[in-house]
Amino acid sequence: MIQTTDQMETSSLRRQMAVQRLEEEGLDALLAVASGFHSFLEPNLAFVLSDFKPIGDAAVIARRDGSSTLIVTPGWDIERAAAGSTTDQTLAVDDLIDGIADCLGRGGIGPSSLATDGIGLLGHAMSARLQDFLAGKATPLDNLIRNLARCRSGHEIQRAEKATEIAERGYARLLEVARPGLREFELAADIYCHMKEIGGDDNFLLMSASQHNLGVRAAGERMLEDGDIILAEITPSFEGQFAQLCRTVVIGDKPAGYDETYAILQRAMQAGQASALPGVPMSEVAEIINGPFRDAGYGDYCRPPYMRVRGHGLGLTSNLPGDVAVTNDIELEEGMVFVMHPNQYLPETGYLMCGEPVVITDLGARALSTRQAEPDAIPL
Amino acid sequence: MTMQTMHPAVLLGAYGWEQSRMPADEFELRMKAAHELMDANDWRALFVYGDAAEHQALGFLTNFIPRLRWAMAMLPRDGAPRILLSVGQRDVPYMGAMTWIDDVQTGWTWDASFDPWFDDFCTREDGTPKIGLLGKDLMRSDFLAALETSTSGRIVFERGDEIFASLLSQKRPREVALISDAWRILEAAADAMSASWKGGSDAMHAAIEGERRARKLAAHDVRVLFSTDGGRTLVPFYGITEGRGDPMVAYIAVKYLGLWAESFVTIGDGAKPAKARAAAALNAMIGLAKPGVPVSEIAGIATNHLAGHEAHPMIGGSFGHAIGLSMTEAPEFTAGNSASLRSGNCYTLRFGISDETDGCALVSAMVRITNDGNQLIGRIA
Repeated sequence: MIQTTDQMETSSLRRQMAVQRLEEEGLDALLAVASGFHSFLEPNLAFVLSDFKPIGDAAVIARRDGSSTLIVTPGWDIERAAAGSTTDQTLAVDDLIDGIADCLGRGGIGPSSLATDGIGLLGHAMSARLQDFLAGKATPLDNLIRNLARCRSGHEIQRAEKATEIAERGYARLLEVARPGLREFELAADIYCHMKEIGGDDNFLLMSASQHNLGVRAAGERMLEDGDIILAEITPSFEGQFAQLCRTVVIGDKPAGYDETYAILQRAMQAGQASALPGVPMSEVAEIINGPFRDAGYGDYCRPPYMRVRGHGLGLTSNLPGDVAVTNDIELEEGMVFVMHPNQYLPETGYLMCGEPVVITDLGARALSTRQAEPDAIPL
Repeated sequence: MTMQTMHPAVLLGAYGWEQSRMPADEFELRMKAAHELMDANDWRALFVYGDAAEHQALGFLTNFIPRLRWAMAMLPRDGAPRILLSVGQRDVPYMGAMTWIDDVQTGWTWDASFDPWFDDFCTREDGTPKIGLLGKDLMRSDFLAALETSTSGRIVFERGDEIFASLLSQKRPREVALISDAWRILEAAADAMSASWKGGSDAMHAAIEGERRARKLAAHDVRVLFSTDGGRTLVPFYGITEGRGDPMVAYIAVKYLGLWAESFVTIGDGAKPAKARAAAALNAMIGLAKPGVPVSEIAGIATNHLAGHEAHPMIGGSFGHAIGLSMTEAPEFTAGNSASLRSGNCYTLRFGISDETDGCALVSAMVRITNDGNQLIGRIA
């Protein structure tokens, strides 16, 4: 975890860390760019370095002298950006590349003294124009910010906890309103707007139901029915930090063996949390999560399409440590935040979901949620 | 300046292929028109890329709309098409139900899903065939690099976006009907927002009530910006935003079965002089909207109605645009744009004023250009 946030706001600290790298490289400034795509699985570099979530494409210029500029699009968003950004200067323009060129030109910074990060996350139209402007002279430092932001600050963890609280209240709402006859999209609309009312400004919400699920998907036209198993991947963002809960709930009576099968997922979750200590490779955590499934005779199901990964990073900060997967050898560090979810298709019950947002501590992966996933049911 | 909203992490809403509204033969007609353009340009295939933020051509030709990443359709002039989706194998059957294309594959295993199809295509074709490419501007560098590596030296790509622009801008009857449906959902959302605000809610919660209504009416996407300072600035949802403002001004965009409608909404009694001026300007702009009228002329009459007052920053010098499968389509109604209004296309006309004395107002209307004038799709008073 970043330790110095009592003295310095997180995005300012990250800019300072970036400047240290500029000094090592002998460069004058870093140009970090971001698109307006806002994927919850990717970092938004402008957000990381300014603490402002832009509507459109944006950039931060962090200079070696410690000064910084946020450039956002569209131009009409200037007041919100200026009020929200931690940079020294904030500009709002309608053409990001023109804005970058103008800002760098006025500061006397040429491409050859510039480091860049994030150009690969832009669409071709933008990246080609930017590369033309840089004329091959800038030094790409791709993934610099993603790495610098891999561990959350105390303030960011507070935001993640708030996002988790919003997700838990969203799930409580689902338990309250889900009933036979309601369409999936109506239920999704209800809980999505409920979470927005309490501060969930974005939401990667997958929620679907079936008598025998093969996976979770976005809500559709399907009407809920007695005996349906609702799967919910509830992923609100609070002030730019996403958190994800994975939940499973039956409408009406639980099918035979449901609790027993779900207990395998819970054991996998507990084993994963206990094993996720600083210094442990993520691949090892994923193997340990697979253990209870193997022990129960479901080893052959620990692969796609029966599951995908056992969790993943969460934007908009850094998506590190990445996927909870046997192929990911990244070593865990204190303060890393991600979702751990031993979601699994099993032949008797179909796909089941069980997952919590966690933060790595020296005692293991601490769940940010107040109540961990249970095999829930909505009595009729 | 074009309208921008905060793009969500995933597109919610009940996406599917609603064949009663968009039957298979609609896509046969669209593909027939695409084939004519391909033949005219000697393209032996068409590759169409789109992502969750922009998918006009992809949606038009395949009905597929990516919810969170990208998709690319490979449409050969002869032979079976394939569409690659940026989803895991587990999600392919469900997501693939959104399109008429039978051969749906995950794009995550490029070697297995793109290369064999492309090898077959090259085997069937003579020489170095040309392929039309739509959506290249949206591709990220790693995707473009994979595409170029797989195809290098075997085909020639030609950009097709401008060639297809005319086909995409001509709204077909089924599209116009869906735009009208999207407008009706938008109107219901505006009513809910108004009722909430008038009932004492702050602007953020009133805006959420509008969104809730639209989503419960099966909107595929809803974008809302709202104001707490009498319409001077509009903001997206971010944490908790307090304040009511008077008037409450908002921007609502609703997508239904792939087609967009949008409008500014003003609620409350404040800023009456600005609202009156804005309404008069919009009346004049609607009155002028006929086929063949240069969009610069619409911008001109709007500028005249400013009569020295400041244009609202949300509007700047852009007083309208086409709308349909994209929230903002060309042409933009600016003073320097030489394009003209086209019969059969749908447009948003918009006007805004920001004045310290008169207050702020943002108004808009959607029209469809007919053979001799325009048909009002909707306007919120």
